[in-house]
Amino acid sequence: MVSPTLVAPQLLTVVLWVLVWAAIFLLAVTLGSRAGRLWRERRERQVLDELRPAMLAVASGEDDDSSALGRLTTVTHRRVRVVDRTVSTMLSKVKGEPARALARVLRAHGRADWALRGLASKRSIRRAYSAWILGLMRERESGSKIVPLLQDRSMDVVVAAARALTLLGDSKAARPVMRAVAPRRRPRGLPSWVAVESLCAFDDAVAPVVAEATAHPQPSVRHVAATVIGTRPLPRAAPVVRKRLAVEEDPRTLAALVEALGEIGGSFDLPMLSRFAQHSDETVALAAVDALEEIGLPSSVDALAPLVADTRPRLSERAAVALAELGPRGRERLRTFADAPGPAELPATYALQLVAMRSATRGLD
Amino acid sequence: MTPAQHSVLVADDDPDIRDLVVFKLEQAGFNVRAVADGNAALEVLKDTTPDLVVLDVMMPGLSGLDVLRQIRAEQRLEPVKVLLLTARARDTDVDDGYNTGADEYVTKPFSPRELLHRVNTLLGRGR
Amino acid sequence: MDWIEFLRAAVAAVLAFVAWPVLVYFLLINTSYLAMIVLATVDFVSHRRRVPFAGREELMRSRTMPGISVVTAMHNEEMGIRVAVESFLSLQHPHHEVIVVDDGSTDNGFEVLRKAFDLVPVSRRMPQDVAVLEAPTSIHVPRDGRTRLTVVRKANSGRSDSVNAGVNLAREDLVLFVDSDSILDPGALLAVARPFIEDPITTVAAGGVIRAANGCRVKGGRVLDVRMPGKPLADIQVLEYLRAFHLGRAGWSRINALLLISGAFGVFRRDALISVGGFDTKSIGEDFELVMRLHKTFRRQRKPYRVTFLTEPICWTEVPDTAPVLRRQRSRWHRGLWETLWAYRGMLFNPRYGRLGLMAVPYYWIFELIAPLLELAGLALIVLGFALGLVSWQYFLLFMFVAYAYAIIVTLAAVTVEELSYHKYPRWRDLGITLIAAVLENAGYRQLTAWWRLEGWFAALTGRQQKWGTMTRSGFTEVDS
Repeated sequence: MVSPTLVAPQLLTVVLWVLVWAAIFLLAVTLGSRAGRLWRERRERQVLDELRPAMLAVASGEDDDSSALGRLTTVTHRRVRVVDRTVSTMLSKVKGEPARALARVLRAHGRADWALRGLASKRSIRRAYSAWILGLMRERESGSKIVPLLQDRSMDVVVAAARALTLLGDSKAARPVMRAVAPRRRPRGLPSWVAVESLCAFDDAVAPVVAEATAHPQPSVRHVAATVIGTRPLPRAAPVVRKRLAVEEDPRTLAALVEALGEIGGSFDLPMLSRFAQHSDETVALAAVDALEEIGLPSSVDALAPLVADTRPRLSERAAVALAELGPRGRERLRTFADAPGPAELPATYALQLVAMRSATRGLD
Repeated sequence: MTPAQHSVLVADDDPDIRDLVVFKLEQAGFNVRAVADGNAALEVLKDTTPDLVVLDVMMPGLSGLDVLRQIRAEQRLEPVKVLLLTARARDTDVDDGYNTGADEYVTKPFSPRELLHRVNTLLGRGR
Repeated sequence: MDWIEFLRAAVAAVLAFVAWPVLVYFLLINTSYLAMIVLATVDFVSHRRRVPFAGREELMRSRTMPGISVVTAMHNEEMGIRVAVESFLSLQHPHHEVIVVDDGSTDNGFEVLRKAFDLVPVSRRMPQDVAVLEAPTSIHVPRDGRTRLTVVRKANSGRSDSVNAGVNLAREDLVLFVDSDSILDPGALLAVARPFIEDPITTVAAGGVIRAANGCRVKGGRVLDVRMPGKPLADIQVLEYLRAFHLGRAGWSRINALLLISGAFGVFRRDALISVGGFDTKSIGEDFELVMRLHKTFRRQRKPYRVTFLTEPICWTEVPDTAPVLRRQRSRWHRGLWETLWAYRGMLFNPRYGRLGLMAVPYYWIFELIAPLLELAGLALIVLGFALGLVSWQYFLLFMFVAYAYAIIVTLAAVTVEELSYHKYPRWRDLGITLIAAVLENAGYRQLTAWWRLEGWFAALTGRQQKWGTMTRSGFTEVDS
């Protein structure tokens, strides 16, 4: 019988060796990485323990004679890396004169030039870190060199660049930041929240860019624009928001626009918001209820009151709680609802219960 | 005679910020004690009554607002001033803080000098 | 001895056809694991490098941070429920609420919560966004009217139905499902919200990593010290979780074809969840079924959507450390896998579903569903053939190398990636345990779990009723100091 299961001895040897070497390689990487990490951590701790007082003195602005600054800037070459990393961590936590002093430490170590060169590095991590360091050091002139990185192929670099530009706060970067949200060639753009934080940190010169972006073909860009208008807030954009509300198709962007109108709108907008509270998409309808509350006008009470009787339990409850938040007039309405049987009775009772519980524990406030 | 040394309790889970606040306040002559979370802060407050508590709002475990609520619920701790130190910069959050009974609010990233200034004002220390 | 000759002939005949395919199958399955690990490595390592400028602090104060409703079901868990709820309430997040659904507990669980949080009943009407079998009998909130906790009581109707009730009561944009005996890291909510604020238009769901909490030092609902369990059965599962559930799913997510989000820790956009109807109460693999349904629905509507996976290890849960409990779990999982794959068989090789239909679903059929059958049959045949002298020792050795030594190498690769990225196990001793477990897994555990999985499949095919396996827990090692 011819056995189908014959194996050439050479194959066996090859497989055996591949397995043995793979195992050795993986073990070596694991052990080496762990040992290296522990050694580095220990060394860094030593260095930092020595320099901690100087670091704190500089970071807290208690370094009047610049002696601590002197200690940090004259460390040996091998310690520079450790010091710089700690200083940059600290830099993101303080502001004012101490931040400027910490930036001086980095500058004395040649970090500004290093980072400027690094923006063109082949390694994405180096590009990202360089952009971030320049932002932390508030190197304003470097802004124009960081902007091109918003179109970088590595997402890490794009995020670092946007966050650096946020720190620099130059509104000239607004348009490139907005563009990075929906890049033409790549499937994923700058994360929405990073873009929003950036555009909220720039000065009012961003207004035209944001207004224009509300009509961008990509919903992700329109969503960022709507969110920025609501969170900055940007009252000048109100006419644009009203215009977009009529034509916006993406429900989440629509909800963001409605919310924005709650922040920047006026009594003029109440009828429109009331209409959106009837929207078939619940996210939009709830955003409209929130907006009616946020506008906070006396007439908001009249706009919200009919919604307490809405057939959608989630909406009616939200409207009732919003009324309770709007003060005595709102609560007065709720009491009327709670006393009369009908669809508004239960949500009104619930909202009043919450109010009662909160005021009973007000002593704790 | 030297003026009575004010005592301050600092609670923040970020060691950098904690050390920084402690350093700044100690340099200014305060008697400072620091802890890393809300529970530890309450533990310290059980048998001491500092003049001021500097609270980070977002700590693991009990948040700064929780600690603040408990401080305000306690008769003995009534004179204690509370300064909230937080990364949250939304207006509603500031309202939350004041509504819960905070005396002062400093947002991160913060200026240690400004922090000291507010602490001095809170404790009525002229400088 | 006629029958021995007969057996010899039969085995020889079968072997003639399958000897090489079996080898190739083992080669492929191990290589696919390795490929997943390599794919995930990119994400993992880049995550660590991103840390300095990823902006965790900024994320926390971001004004775009969506609210999260943490939904958990409890059934007779009076021992741990208070600590669990306290720790959920104290997670770092600017705006989250906790919803506990008491699934008809017969113990003192509700009383424990009522006392601890000073609960009072409120008259709230539950929205019917998702159909539920058992309506709430009462809804409770803490007396201060501020603590964002809702406790719902209802008659017993199973976990899926309870969680659906929680979804109806949820008020925030995102809903996070977590088992009440799981432990979340303090920053877990910020991490789970991240994909949703990075891409608010299309992200609809995100799965999280679950790691074994056995052996870890735990206090007040927090993991203080990460350690290996030190019991072989649990040690091996740590590796299994690391390799398959962590790296495997991260790999699938990277090619945008994630099929499974564990029900023990997953986050969904509420509107998307409602649009597909919540959990299927009749399904045994309800978490798998839900994600399949999500994919199917959104693909059919041709809406752009994303299901992502969070690589940061932020959820810890106790894994079974006794054989009977593990057996029930695995057989239930496999039964759920079969039922869901069968229900969605239309997606198999269906180009309409893109990578899902052409890669992920076929993969689950071949390398997850059929795996235990082929593994056990292949092993039995080759051992038998060797015993009968039909298989040369060279082939037998090659089979062992390809099937098991290769599997150990793959596990080692997963351990290496963990060491290079999150290195959660600081003790050298744990590294040693890991290496021993990697070998032990292939000497018995793998075969045994394959058998249990087959049992589950068989029970499903014969239509036998599955009894709900109750997880007996030994409780976490709480420390005093």
